[in-house]
Formats: sequence, C-alpha cells, structure tokens
Amino acid sequence: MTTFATALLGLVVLLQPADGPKQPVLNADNWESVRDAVLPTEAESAWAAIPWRPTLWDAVLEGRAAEKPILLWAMNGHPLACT
Amino acid sequence: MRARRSVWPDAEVRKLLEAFIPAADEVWGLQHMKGPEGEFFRGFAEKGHYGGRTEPSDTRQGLYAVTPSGEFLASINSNDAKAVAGMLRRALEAWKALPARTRIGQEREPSPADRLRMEARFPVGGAILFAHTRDLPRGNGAATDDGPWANAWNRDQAWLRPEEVKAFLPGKPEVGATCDLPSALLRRLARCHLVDIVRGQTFPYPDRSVEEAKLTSTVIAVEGTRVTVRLEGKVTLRQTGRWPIHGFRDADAPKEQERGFTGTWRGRAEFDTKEATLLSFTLVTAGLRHGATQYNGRADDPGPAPQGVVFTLAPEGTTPVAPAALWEYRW
Repeated sequence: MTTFATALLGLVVLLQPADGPKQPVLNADNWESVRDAVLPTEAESAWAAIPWRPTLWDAVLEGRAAEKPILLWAMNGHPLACT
Repeated sequence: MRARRSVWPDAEVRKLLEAFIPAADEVWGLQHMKGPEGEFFRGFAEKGHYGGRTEPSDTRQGLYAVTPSGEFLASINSNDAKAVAGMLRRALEAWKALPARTRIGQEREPSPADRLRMEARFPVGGAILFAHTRDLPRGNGAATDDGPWANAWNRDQAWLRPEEVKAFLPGKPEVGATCDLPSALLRRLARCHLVDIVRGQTFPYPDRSVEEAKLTSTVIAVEGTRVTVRLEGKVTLRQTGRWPIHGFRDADAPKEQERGFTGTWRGRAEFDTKEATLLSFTLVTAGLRHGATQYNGRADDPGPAPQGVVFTLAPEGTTPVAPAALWEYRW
C-alpha cells in the first residue's frame, strides 16, 4: 500500500466503531487520498505498458505483416477492461 | 486478473514477449462469434489447454501462442510468471520449427459486417472512463486483505455519450451554479460499475436495486472556456435473490443472498466549453460493500467492508473496449 493508503488507514480507524466497519465518507480533505489509494501504482500498471492489440484479428493482420507469432491473452471479460 | 500483477511485470516474460505480437481479447465472444474471426480462434483453441473441455465450464480462457496462419504453438492458463515464460519459450521453438510458408496464412480479412464486435457500439464523440476498484483499509490494523488477494484491484471501462458528458456541466457556467446529474446516467454508472470486481467479474445490479443515486455538480472555477466543477453525491444499492456464491461448487444449489454498496461520491471535472469536451475527470466513490456472487470470490469475505471505485478520464487515444456489462447500457 502507498503512503496515501497508510494515511487513509488512520482516517478509517478514527471512524471505526467497536461493532464493525463504518461507511467511509468522502469530504474535501480525504477524497484525493482515497483516489490515490484506489488507483494502481506505476508498478501495478506495468501490464498496461505492453502494446496489447485490442482484438485477436488486429494481431493476426499485424503478425502477417511483421512475420511474427501472436500471443493472445483471452479471458472471460476483456483483459483491457474487466476480467 | 491476477496475471496483471503476477505475470506481465516479470522481466523474463517481458523479454520473451518482444518476439510476439501481443493481443488481448474477450474469450466468450471469440468462442461464440460467427464469421472468420471466431472460426480462427476456435481452430486453435481446441488444441490448447482446455480443448474439448465442457466441465466445470466450456471456457477456453488463457494464453495462446499461435501463428498468423492459425497454427497452434503453445498455451497455458496460469498466473505463474515462470510457467508462462516456459510456455512462451516452447512456442518460439515450435515457431522456428515450422516451415516459413505455413506461418503466415492467407485467410481473408473480415469485413466490418463480419466483425460484430461490442466496441462498435462506442458512441461517436463519447468519452471513455476507467473505473478502478480496490478494497480500502478495514481499520482493524490489518491490510485490506492478505494472501493472494492482498492489494488486489480491477478495472473496467465506463462509456459516456456526448450528451452525458455535457450533463456534468451546469447550464450557466458561473461559479456557484449547480445541476443534478440525470437519474438514468447515475443508475447506469452505479449498477454497472459499483460492483465488487476486486477478485473477479460479477453481474451488474438490476435497476430495482438502486435505492439512491444522487450526484450534484457545482461550478467552482471559470477561466475563459475552461470550467471546473466539483462533484458530490451518495449512492445505495441493495439486491436480494437466489444465486450461487461458490463458483461452480454451488452452481446447482443457489441460496438466498443479499449484496449491496452504500457510499458517497466526490470528485472534480474540467471542461472546455468551446469544444464541449472533458479536459479531466475524477469521480471517487467510497463506501461499504457486502455480499458475494458466483464468481467474485467473496464467499469467504462477504463484508461489510470498505471499498473504493475511482472513475478517471482515459488518456486520449485509448481504444474503446466494451464495458463488462455493456448489455445493461441498452445502447
């Protein structure tokens, strides 16, 4: 977790009742920290730097032109969206 | 989606991948679409790791190395970088062993009519948002989670029509002017994108699950044609019904379930009013999620627990990829 997440942890602890988690409430002071805790870090985004062609057929056409094999990542749910 | 974290950052995998044209695609569509694109996939997928399988499902998801002519080279479905690297090496050996004339192929290119892809529904002039979802710290001294799902996150694309982009901007671009976002837009964003996908895909909420969805836009700055708005609101979703929560294990024995999300929205957006375009967009959602669904891996962690969803404007040039629940957009 990031420094932002650590700071957020402290915030949520303050809101924590004894009987369970309380709904985190966004305000002018914390919403950007929550944003940064949720968004992937640069390291977590490394997969997206790979030049994925968004469809199999895009890669077929390019593979023919470049005379290179294709590596297809095919998942239930598009890997570049939600899988 | 674990491969995003465990496989693709691996240096050996990245090096081996340079010899390939990398592609990502949705497997159910490839398995079922008519025309040459689907036929091409099915031709090699049946030679792969799940070839012929029907139980516990007929999915063919995984990684496939193939020639542009459709010759199968190697495949695997693994989140282990070393195993994937081994598959890539085997694929390259098989590629080198093939006569050059058999590698490329001459299948005809699908015409636009052949390619009935969901991405074709992306509206001209619309906007692509990324919707990232991650568990938030639970406040009990522990991390958000432990084990293989520690710090897990997922993302989807959320699409906006041009008129929906404009709906975020109050009619009078003056500081203090406000507007409430259209109910239909908020309900769609909530139902399709405030779902618990941290550990895996899940189905969208039905419309009747939206107990509250309100978002107000307030102009906070105006500089020429550049207008900045603050976004604030709240949302509550709750669904009850019968569905399985243990993947395939209880698929034939669904039980009464409840799932939901209660949270607040906060964010900021910048518009160019002359071009009627978004310059930046961030909408943060934080709240409590509860419940589990068949494939979202929450049977052992139903909450309630804090979760965040962040919508951001995708970088210019981002290729539209269909949101997981595009059919619920009804476009």
